[in-house]
Amino acid sequence: MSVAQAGPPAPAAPYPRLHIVAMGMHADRRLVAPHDRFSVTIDVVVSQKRDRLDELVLGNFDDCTIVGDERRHTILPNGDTQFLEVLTLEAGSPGTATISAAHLDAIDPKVGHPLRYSTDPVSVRVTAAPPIDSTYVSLTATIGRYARWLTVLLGALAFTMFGVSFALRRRRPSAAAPPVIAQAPAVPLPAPPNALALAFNAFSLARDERTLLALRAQLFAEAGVAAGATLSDALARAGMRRSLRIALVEAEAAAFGPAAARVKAGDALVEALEAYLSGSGDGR
Amino acid sequence: MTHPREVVRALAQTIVGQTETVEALVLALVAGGHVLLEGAPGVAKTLSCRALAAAIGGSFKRIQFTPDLLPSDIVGTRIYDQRSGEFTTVRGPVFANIVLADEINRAPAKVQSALLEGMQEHRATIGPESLPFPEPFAVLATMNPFDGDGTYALPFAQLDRFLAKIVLGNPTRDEERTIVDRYAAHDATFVSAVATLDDVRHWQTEARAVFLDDRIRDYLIDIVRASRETPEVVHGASPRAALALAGLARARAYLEGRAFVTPDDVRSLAPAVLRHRLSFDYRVAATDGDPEAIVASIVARIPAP
Repeated sequence: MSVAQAGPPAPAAPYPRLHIVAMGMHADRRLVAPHDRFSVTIDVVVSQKRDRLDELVLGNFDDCTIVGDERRHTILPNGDTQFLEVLTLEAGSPGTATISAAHLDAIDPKVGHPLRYSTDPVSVRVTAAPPIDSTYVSLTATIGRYARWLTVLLGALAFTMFGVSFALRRRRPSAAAPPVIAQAPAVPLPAPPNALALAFNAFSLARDERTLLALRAQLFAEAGVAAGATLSDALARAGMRRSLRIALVEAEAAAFGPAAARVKAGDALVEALEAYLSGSGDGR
Repeated sequence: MTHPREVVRALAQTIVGQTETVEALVLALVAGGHVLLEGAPGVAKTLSCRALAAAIGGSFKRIQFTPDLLPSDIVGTRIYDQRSGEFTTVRGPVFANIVLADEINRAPAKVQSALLEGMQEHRATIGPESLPFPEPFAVLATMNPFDGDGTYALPFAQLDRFLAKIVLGNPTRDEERTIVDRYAAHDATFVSAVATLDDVRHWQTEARAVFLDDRIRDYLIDIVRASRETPEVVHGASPRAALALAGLARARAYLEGRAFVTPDDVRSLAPAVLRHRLSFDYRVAATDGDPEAIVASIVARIPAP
């Protein structure tokens, strides 16, 4: 989830007084076939009890159409209200279906002036070929499907071998060693494709400005802020994930520090990210 | 060698709350600039300035600006000495490390100009002599947002000389309680000098050496340029605003112990640098528009690198 703040266009509009705790938008699939249906969920948490959020403005829908719109809200134990707007969309022709950023203009009581809170836009690839999903869920499903086929194949092979062995034993009843049924080799499941891990790998392989900025962008996304935000925004959203916080700070030094300090900051960034990605130390 | 953070801590012992103001004053001192303070009477504008001068062991002079003030009342004059038969120079209150120009908008333009010339050149001319001000030198000018009668608005060319404008708000209830407990029985006491004038000069030199990446330079330029391309703004900020923002961002990085400027430095200081440099369209006032919100929107619409 991300909260990006920007000033609303008109200064004197009657905006509601709302403190937005979190705001984000995500799709349940990254890759769909033409005319497939997928969901996009907009998630907004406000720090007060409300039963409506009419101020939420949806973005534009390119190459997809809305076929369903469901809104619900939940009062959280701490008194905040979470609003979920689940849009069911139908993909259009092959290309990219884009749902531009949703936004909300409000006066934050803590700041006292109007702010615009925006989500990130969401893009879904629409392809004519059978989708080979890049998301973890669909990848797991694909591997599961292949694993089932493999099991069936091995079962059939074992059954055939057993039958052949049985026939041979009947034809030549000498004491032969029992057939060994080959075990399927253990295939480790690949790690879920993680944009942060990919950016980290790219930076580890070639430390240059391009890979560093890409990694910094992914760190910001991991913390929950959009491009164009600053380190303080990211740290405010990163919570208590210590390694992530260290990585964010070191990425800043590596990106904007003097040349002499960048190498050292890059080393510290790698160290912090290794700890973060391995899940050690900060209960990721 | 002390660190400017020591001055911030010392000021916090005298000033209750107003943390942003205290930090901004120290930042401006480190950046070598002047500050415009706007706030209602009684929100510790003068106290902050006195405390700052005390914390650095510098000389402090206060000039109460009034409609009948003369330039010589600020810069000084030459007086004929009958015994020696010669003219002697009497230096005015502007010859101090920290000069508080109280209610600067109550004096006419020629008096304001006398001070603002010194702010730019760090020296004043009295008769045939051009005399340098003591260094460090900073003017902290206050303006009261109320009581507009009998005031002379500062021209934009003069406002542009101020590095930043700080708006002081009212304290919170808890802070007000502390103020009453602390100062109802006795006057404010100032923490003795925690730094020297040499320290301040050293900070200013070091802050100027703080690294500013090209992308951050471009970011702050984009913000300044965006102020000229905003429909509600008639006159945007000048290139001097970009210089001021760069200087203050470097000072903030130095204050935080960093050798480089981050986008946060720029974003957090941009409103203070821009707010007094913009001239707003009459429709903003006519529709009760909030100039502060416009400044915030200008800063917010430029994505940080």
